[in-house]
Amino acid sequence: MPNESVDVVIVGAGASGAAIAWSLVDTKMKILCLEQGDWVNPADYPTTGTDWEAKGWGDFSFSPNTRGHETDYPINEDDSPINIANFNGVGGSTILYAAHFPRFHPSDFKVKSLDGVGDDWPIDYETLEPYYAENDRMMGVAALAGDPAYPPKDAVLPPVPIGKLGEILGRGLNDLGWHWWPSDSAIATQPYDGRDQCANLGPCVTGCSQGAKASTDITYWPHAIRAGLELRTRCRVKEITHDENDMATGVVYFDENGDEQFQPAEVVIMACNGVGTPRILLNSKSSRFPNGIANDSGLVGKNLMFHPYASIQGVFEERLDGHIGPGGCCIWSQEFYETDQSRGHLRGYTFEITRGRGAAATALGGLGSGKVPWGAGHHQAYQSLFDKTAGMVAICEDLPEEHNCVTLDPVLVDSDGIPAPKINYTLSDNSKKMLDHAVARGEEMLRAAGAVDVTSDSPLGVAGWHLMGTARMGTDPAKSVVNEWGRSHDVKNLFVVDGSIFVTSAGVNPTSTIQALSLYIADNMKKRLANLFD
Amino acid sequence: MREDAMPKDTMPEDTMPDLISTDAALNRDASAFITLLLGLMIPAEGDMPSADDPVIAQKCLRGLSSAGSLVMDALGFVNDQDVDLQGLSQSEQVRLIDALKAAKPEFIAAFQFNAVTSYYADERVLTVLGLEGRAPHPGGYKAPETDWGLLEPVTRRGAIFRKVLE
Repeated sequence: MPNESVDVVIVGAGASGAAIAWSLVDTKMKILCLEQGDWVNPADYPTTGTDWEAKGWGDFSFSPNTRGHETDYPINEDDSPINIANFNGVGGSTILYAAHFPRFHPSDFKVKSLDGVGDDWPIDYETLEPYYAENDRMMGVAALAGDPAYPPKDAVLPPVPIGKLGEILGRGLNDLGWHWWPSDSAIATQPYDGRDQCANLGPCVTGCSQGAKASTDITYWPHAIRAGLELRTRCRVKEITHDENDMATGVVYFDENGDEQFQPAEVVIMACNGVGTPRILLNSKSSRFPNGIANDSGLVGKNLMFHPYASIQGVFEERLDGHIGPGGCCIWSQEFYETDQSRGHLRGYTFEITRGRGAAATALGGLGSGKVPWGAGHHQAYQSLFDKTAGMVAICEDLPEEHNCVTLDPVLVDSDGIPAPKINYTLSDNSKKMLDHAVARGEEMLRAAGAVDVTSDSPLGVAGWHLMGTARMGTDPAKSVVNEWGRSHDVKNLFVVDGSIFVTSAGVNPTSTIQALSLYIADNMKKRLANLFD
Repeated sequence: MREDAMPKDTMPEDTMPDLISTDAALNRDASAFITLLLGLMIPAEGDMPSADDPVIAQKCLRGLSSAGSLVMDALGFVNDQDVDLQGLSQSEQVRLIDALKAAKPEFIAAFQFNAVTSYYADERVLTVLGLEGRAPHPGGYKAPETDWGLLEPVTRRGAIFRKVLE
């Protein structure tokens, strides 16, 4: 029996799909979301066991190739020094993200004008500001108002405690006269909207057993579903179909039994992240769109941006209580965020100070570096590292380059036979210089804070958490895939709302901006309902 | 490794049958080999147990059961040396382990991963390390109040974001 037609089909139930679903549901349109994964039971998250580290590297690994769940799709990463991180399920990658929740800076929307690189966005910070604020309320963002690195913004919840570790590094930063501030964190530091208060479990990146972290399965989705939206899991979309008028007619997907289904829809919204969305667009080939739907510009899949990451870690002589508090949310420094040409690179980066390593991670790191031996001396060497290691990652702005791209792998397919994405990516000279700068400044900071030994890892390999730029927005159809409110230039009832539409990447985690954009696009759709396809 | 080199007395009798029956990919020789390596890698010291502790070893063997071919390959390498690993002096053991690390890095990676994640998840080990010997959830941890006065130099400096002029 054919599926009943819906007004809107949203593909993907992650950060952006959840936000736009919730925003559109008050239109009373018939809205359906198709998600290839499952709901995740918080009781299954690793922190309910002492073996949480092993599970975090296995079933809850952020690498889909390592996880290899039936609901994952493989990714060919052979030609990229940075590998993809994601999660496929209701909540998408917010299930495994750190909930580090910075906004873009105003300057991030004017990169070309200010620094002569990349491109300007067709919108600005002021346009997105109300949507950032609305999203902060929906996600329940903990922050301390007054951060001098940003225009004024409200705090929804009290900031996360920074702990002994954060205070030690904060003092070091003060000694250098550098900026720092408690991280904006999508973590409920008080009971909020049905979520429990953070219990400082530590590893947010394996899923929050407490239900305090704002993954969209417990923020937007319950509201949207209560309002009447249907969310169908285990539905893997293969392609978008269209008619002779270049209008999307719906999507073809495989259901949980592997049977092919067609879902008719008046509007199609893609929310599958910067790799998943171009994969489906490129796979939607027809005589009209031989290179994939909505791809007259030839830019679908191109301009892939990650954030090149460096990790800088220091060993201290005292214990730091690093297991207490949200692992990825402590303090940040944006001392080197804005462009200063004397540094030898353009644009900048954020230091995200992270909390301590787990007991097993400390051992594996020590064995890998040779600092912890086998046999006699193992325990003494281990004790010199455990709970005495602190540091940061530098999140460097990546600039768009067409040769960095997502294509369809000619051989590799997922369990339904859909071609897998293939990643081609190289680090730019600007990124390399920025990473080197970050490593040097990170070491300086750690030594100022009292570290006796500092090591670094740059670029981090499995650090493709942020997937951006592969269906960029813009006003010129020849230079962009979607317009300034997320609608395809070529297919006027097809929208993209995930990180694909980013024009540039900024030097911060993107989820806050992805969701603000999604809410902004939803608002634009609602304002234009009478002439949405004109 | 010669059969007489196997640490048959490493584990109590009552744990051996379970080990063998649950880890189909690892036979008795392989299990004994892994247990011997565990003891060499993380020996007992003070209150810290050795990694060849039966409970920890069982967990590690279970984890390695899917890497049976790597284990047998490594065991073959050691057997080919025609020495009694357990009976070697400490310096000779180190030399042989170093040779194993160089010759069989895939095995070593799998072994170290399973050894470490088994050992450092053991409640007794966590307790000796000064942690509470339990899972993070549901108990959680209490964080101290933050002294936000530390931010005074940062706020005194004022805004640092770049102004965008239209």
